[in-house]
Amino acid sequence: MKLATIAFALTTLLTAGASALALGERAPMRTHRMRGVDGQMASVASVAGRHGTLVIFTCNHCPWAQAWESRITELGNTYRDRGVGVIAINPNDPVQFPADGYEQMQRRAEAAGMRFPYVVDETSNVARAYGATRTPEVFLFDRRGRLVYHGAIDDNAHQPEQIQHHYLRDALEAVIAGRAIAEGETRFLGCSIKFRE
Amino acid sequence: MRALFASILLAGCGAEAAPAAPHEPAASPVLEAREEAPEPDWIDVDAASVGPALAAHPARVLMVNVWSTWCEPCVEEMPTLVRVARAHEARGLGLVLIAADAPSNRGAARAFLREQGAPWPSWFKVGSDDPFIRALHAEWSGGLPATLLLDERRRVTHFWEAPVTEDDLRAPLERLLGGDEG
Repeated sequence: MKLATIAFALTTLLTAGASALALGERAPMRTHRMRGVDGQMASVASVAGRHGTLVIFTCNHCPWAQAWESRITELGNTYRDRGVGVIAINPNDPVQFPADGYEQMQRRAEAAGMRFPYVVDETSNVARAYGATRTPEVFLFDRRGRLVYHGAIDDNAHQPEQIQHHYLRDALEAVIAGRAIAEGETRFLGCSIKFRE
Repeated sequence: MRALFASILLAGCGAEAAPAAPHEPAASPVLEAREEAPEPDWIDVDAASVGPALAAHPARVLMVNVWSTWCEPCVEEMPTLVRVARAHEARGLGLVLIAADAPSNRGAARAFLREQGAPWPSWFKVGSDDPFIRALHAEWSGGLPATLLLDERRRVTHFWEAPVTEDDLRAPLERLLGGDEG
């Protein structure tokens, strides 16, 4: 039997649709205040920058979040200084994963050198509102508050020397320049968010 | 179809090809050991090859699971997947496990699969995430674990971006495998 006759077609028979925030939509729960590792309350609205706002759902325990952590910190610190608001949100249930507890977040943020808020989503409802499913998952909003990029930081979590596409960095540069973003949505392998009940 | 699958398996084994037969008489234990067939290596799959590889798989129905040793829910559900696959193997169910570990973690992943009694050789995802995820299933965001059931035409009939249980799998597998002894 020729391969052509059994051409692989992963045609879905399912109708369920993804519920993640769509490009062009505004950030949900913008004014919802969350406690940061510095003890201060912060919201997506409170950190908004003149060029846009970067929201990163991340955590401590996930190996993918750990692999990307130095790049998250470097990008967050750099673009915060260039006028993009940055906030990292941990939506995970620390009962399921104690490594994602508040004190562990404080230690991790300090060790990494994060100069942007790293806050707790105490009900996981912020992550639910965004339709976030994994860590680390990023949502970038432009200066008008519209979602312009959603997905991965780059295309190689574990081998940074082999990165071919710096998705988030390119999107941040485009937002600052007021340009359209070539790839608005990317997918990546990561840890499923451990939603609180 | 089976011949093509065999060729894909062999392609994945290139790194550990059998050594050429020695000229010396095969009398010593050392030489006997050298003549044993090496265990197959991982089958590497990327966005371009995963589809053809699944299409060429000899099993009638496939349960595909993307997992990682670093994903605790993946590790926890593995015994269930292996048990269910064994229980339905004679009716035409094949289990395809695709490891999404870092390349440096191949050894640990292989050891884990051996402990679990999972089918070997197993598959290892290589290349960029985005095209691989899209190639496997339109609804998959990339969260792990991910499990898909594929029918004879390799259409995705069921998809979970979460750990699955035997209860989750029971009815879908009965429908897919039916009374056909394959």
